[in-house]
Amino acid sequence: MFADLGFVLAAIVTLAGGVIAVGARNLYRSVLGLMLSLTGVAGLFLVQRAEFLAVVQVLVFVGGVSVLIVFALILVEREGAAMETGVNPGLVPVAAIVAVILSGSVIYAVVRSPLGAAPPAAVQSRDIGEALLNRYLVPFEAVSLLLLAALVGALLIAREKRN
Amino acid sequence: MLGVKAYAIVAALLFGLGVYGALARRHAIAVLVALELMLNGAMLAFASFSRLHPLAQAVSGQAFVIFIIAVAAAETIVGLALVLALHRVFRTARLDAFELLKW
Amino acid sequence: MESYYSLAWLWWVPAAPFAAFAVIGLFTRPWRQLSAAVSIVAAGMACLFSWGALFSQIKAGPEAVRNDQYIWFATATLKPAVGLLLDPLSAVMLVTVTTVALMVQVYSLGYMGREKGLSRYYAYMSLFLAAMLGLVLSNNFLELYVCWELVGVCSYLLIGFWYDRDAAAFAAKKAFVTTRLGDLGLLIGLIMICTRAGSFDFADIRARMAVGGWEPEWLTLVSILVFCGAAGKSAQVPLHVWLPDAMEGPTPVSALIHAATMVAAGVFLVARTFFLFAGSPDALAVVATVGGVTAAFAASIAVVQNDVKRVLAYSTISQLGYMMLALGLGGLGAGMFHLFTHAFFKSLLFLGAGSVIHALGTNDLREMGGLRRAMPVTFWTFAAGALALAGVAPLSGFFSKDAILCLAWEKSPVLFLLALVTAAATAFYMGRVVFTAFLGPPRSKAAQTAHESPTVMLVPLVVLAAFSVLAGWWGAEFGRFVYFGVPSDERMRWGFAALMQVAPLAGILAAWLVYVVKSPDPDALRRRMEPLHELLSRRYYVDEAYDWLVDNVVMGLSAGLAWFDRRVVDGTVDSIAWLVRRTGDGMRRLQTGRVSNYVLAVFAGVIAAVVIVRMAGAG
Repeated sequence: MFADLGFVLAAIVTLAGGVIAVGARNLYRSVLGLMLSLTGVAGLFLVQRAEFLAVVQVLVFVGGVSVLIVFALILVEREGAAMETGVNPGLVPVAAIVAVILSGSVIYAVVRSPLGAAPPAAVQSRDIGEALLNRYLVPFEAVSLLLLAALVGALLIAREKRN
Repeated sequence: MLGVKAYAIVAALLFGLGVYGALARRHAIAVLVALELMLNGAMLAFASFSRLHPLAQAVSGQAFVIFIIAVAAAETIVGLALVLALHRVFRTARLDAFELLKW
Repeated sequence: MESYYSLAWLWWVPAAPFAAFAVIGLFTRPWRQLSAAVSIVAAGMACLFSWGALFSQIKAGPEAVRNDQYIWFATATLKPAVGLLLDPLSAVMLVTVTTVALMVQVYSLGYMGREKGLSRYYAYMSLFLAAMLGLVLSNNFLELYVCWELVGVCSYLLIGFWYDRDAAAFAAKKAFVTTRLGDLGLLIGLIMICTRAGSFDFADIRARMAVGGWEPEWLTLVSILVFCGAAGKSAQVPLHVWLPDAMEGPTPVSALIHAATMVAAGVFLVARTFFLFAGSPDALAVVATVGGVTAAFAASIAVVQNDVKRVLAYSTISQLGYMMLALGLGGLGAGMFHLFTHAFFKSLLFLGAGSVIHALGTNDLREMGGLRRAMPVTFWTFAAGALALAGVAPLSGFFSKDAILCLAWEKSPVLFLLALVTAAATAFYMGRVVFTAFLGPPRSKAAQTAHESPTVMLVPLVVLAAFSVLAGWWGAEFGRFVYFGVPSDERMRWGFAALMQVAPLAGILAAWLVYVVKSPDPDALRRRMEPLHELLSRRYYVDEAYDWLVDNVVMGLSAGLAWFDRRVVDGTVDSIAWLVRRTGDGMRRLQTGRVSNYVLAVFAGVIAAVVIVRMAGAG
């Protein structure tokens, strides 16, 4: 019972945040909507007893990535003039159609398939850690390399040109 | 506890919202935001479906979510750096300003 | 087969002149006399070995055939070979060609002695001789065709020897193109025959034909196609127009090529492929008719020509018609006999005319006269040749013409009449030439101061005159030597022959009356028959007809095809290019440069991929 309620709550938060994120004209509001949505996703993780994931989600996404986006916003929109940005009117119908098709087909497939309720497999952090360092060692190392490359690349791209 | 289907539906809706935003929004950062939404939708789907399997396989789903988070972070870093560089040259980050590579 | 004459020597007959051509062309060009010597020595060798071949053939008998060849390459269906075929037909031709060629080459030393391009002349002469001999000796259609074309090329080169003269260049081109028309028929015919028989070799084709199964209509078709080639080379109507123009070439060339040898190649071709014609009475009828018409047609034109070489040219066309007539009536021996005798006296006449031209510097009969005293040897040899041509007994021409007239009398009254009238006309125009050129007072300064030609030119004249007088006595043997199927019984019918002398004698008498006694006066006669004279002078307007044909039909067709090429063919290609360009124009508009559009494209692709996979899975 609790779980169901929790699910509904988290789902609402997630989707509402998403709507704000894509719909808001003010970019800051959009980013805030994103943060809301991300938090909702963390909640959904919690309800599914994937606590580790929920924590990581909050730490990294909400606390890191979103903040990064805000910083970028500040740097880019210094004049504050181009804050008013919305959707490109020409593309709205097409975008809507595509979005509906894609998500609709997934929903359709899911609804029609015989997936039952599942007992929550209690996955501990320890299990995840073990998996990352045993089975998925190579991808793990690769991802760290990726992050390093991203860092260096971002530095290179974004720095001021020295005259 | 509600079945996996519900979570899958939420994930799909989240993904759809992200698609719409990626296609329709005018500002580069707004598109990045929408991208994040899409990734989250995928993550949610992974985590939800992984519950259908016994422990040994369920771990894979959650490990994969970790990977997605890491990659998403990297992608956001680079994307934002690009937006900054573009802004420096074009004084704007609106996507319809970037038309140089056309016919 | 033990014979004292080895086939290896036979290979030298075409090989020697060809080697001479190579040597002159590559090495001895700067030294004119040396080139001439090389050529004459080669011709002499060829002549010697040809006579040897003839004697060996006579000894072996008319049925004997000797064959030797090198296979060039062999595929499953084709085996082109280069070979020699020695039988009575080729033996006779060999002797004819090489003897006349040798005489002409010796004569040329005097006639062309001061030409700058003498080496080139002898090189072409040797090449021609080699090609002609190769044609005569060939044992398969392919080799024959190659030599046939080569002979045509040499004719072109030699007619246009003085290539800086417009008239000569034009005449050479006309000769080549006109014979080409005929050659097309020959090519089509020979392809049809050889594919059906599965071989190029004459013996093979003949054997295959004997097996049977070749429809008469098909035989008629291919025979007529082959005859097209023969008609072109042998100047039968209507492909005769090139021969008079070919007189622009040097006179010895006219003597060799356009009197005795190349033009005889057409007759030889029909003789060589006679087994095909024998299976089709219709084709033979066509050959005989064309021959007869040509004979009369050309003789009538010869009567009014003022250029001595033109008279002889039309006379050649007329005599070739006689030969075709004989062949068409089934008289292989008679036709070849006439070819044999004609070669000698016609080349003699040309060389004699050359002697006069060399001395006077003009071809025009109206400027000649009284040369009998100034050039006696020329006169007597020319007269001998003229009498032989007219068919006066007991010269060679009498025997050969008589054989043909006999044949015509037996087979076809109409053709007999044509032949008889032609004989009379022949005597008339030859008499005219002899009387105006050699008798009577000199009509120009040149004629007054003429003198006899050098010995080197006179010796060939005498030799050829001897042949013209004596060769006829071989006539009785000829039909038993060169024949098809069964030897013909060429007994002389003396009664008939005596009667037939009326025609030539009447012709000569008429010429005497008009041109020597001057009653009736030639000019008055001409005025009275003005329309006829005009028609004959304009050569029945055949050349004009050809011009009209080319201008209207050929050019019209070409214009039509050109339009088709421009509009349809080019149009198609251009349209494709236009389509590509338009498509490209359209497609480039996809490159908007905007990220949003590209992202849309990605998603659209994803949807499409899913749909396709779904449909493939369902189907």
